[in-house]
Amino acid sequence: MIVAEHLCKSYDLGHRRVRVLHDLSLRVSTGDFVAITGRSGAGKSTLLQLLGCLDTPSSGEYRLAGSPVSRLSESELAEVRNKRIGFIFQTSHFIDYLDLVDNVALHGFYAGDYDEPACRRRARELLTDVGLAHRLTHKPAELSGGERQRAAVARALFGKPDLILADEPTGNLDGKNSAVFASLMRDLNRDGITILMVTHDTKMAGIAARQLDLRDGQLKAAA
Amino acid sequence: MNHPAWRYLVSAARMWRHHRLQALLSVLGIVAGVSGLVTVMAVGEGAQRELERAISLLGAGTMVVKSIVDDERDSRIMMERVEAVRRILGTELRSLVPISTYQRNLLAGERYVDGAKVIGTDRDYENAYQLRLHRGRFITWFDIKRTERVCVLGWALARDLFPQGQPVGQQVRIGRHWYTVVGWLQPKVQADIEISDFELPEVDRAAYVPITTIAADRSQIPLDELVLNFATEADMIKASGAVQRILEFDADGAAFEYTMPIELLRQKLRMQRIIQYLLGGITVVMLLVGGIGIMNVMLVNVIRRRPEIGLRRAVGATPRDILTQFVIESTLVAVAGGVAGVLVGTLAAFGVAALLDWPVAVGAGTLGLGLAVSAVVGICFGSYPAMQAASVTPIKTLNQA
Repeated sequence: MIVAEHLCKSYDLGHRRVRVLHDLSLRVSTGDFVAITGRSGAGKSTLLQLLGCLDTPSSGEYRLAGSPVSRLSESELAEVRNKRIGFIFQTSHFIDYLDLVDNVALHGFYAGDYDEPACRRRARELLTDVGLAHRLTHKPAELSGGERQRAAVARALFGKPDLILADEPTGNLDGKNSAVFASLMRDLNRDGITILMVTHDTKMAGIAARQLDLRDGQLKAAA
Repeated sequence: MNHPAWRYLVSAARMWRHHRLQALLSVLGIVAGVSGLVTVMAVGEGAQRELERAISLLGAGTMVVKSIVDDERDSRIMMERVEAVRRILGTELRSLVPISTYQRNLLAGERYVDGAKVIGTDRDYENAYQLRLHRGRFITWFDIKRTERVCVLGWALARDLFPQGQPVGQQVRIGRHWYTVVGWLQPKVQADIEISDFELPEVDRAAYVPITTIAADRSQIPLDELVLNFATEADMIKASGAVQRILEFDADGAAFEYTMPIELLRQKLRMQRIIQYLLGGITVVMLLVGGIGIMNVMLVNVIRRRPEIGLRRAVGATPRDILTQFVIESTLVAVAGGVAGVLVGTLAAFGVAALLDWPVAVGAGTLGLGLAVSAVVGICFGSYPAMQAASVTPIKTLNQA
């Protein structure tokens, strides 16, 4: 699913050039569940940005499901994000002026063949699957933290992705909601979806089949 | 509707509905600017229409010469000179209307009208003032030639004298003589045109008689007014010097008052236009302020909605999609302001008409321009914030709390 070889990413900060990732290589097979841990500022978000096709590497090669992502144009990258990847973030951002169904159906808005009734139908089904059937017409501000993160899972699944990228998904959840979220992730992985999760939470990292540690711009097997 | 533009429009409408106060604050400037624009345009269009109406009513080549009779002077245009003007100018003149006005008491049966306006004139008067007959005929060449005691009555005057019946064929005593009524004019809607000291005659309350009949001394008929009508305004201006020389030549220092109503109207409109340009300048400034208002709100929006932008990018939006979304949002709110501005401006234009007594006209072009200008302001001033939005880096914004 993911083949990343010798990835480098550096940023220009005025006179200084900051190297975030250095000669990073990673292989993730279809159906894998990988957790990446690392200190703050280790470059976890940058790695997720590259793997999620939101940015391109300074050098190196990245192939997602066989496509050479590092050489795709802006609109091709957007299409990959829309069709192949689902994101779950630490802060489950929603659009405040849309109800939950429209928020979950947002993928459809940017899909080439947008069919609003069909998109809304699918969003309702996904929200029902994550136990939010009673919240369909609610605005995001009316949901609890746990409900928002479950809605974020529904949204990530909307485009029927091959890969889910989760960035500190339980960072804002209490123990009970973290456990619910962990079991949701396990179920998705069992259904064949590849999951790559960045987390601080060792308990959460523990549910992954493989754990990696991001240190000095490179990935190493976690101790 | 599945067109992308429609989808963005619906999305923008939802966003502004949710953030009503922001929408209101961002459009105030546009409302002021567009309403100013509509008012200014309405004043301009009203002035133009007034000019056109005056031209159709008087003819562009109409010149009025008046006798001056006051405590110091007694300059009267004499009928014999009028004939000289007719002979010399010949075919350049379309019509030449001598007018001699009197105040007379009128009597018909039991009915009596005190101090009515009696106009001694000839047959050209009918065309010069575009009179329409309800019954009968106007003064003819024969009436002038044979000094017939006939008269034509204005609509209201005839109604006063003959409340029940038909005036044509009846006898009316004008001053000390009896006249036969030969014509009855249609009521004339008085054109609401003010041209400096030039007044259109009160057609409805006047009686018209052959000028040769009413004058006491037929060899020396003094006129109050002479209306000359040329084919074009240019002909009139060209001939005006000659007219003056013929009328005043060897006339014991007589001097008359020459008026070109269309020229006077043009002068008045030129004054209005200067004020219009000043207001137009203020309007442009207001539109700029309105545009800056929208830009300000949209820039704040971009900062506030960075997570939304990141989210949209993550689910498949390109920077171009984000740019389009923000431009449509700013354009929608600006056009909404434009609609409000058009309404306010229309009301303001009629307010101007009522307060300053200026002619105004709100045409479809004015309304269309108001909306188009607001859309252009929305697009122009929304573009920079939209470019800022399109350049937002997604992941960083998504990790913001």
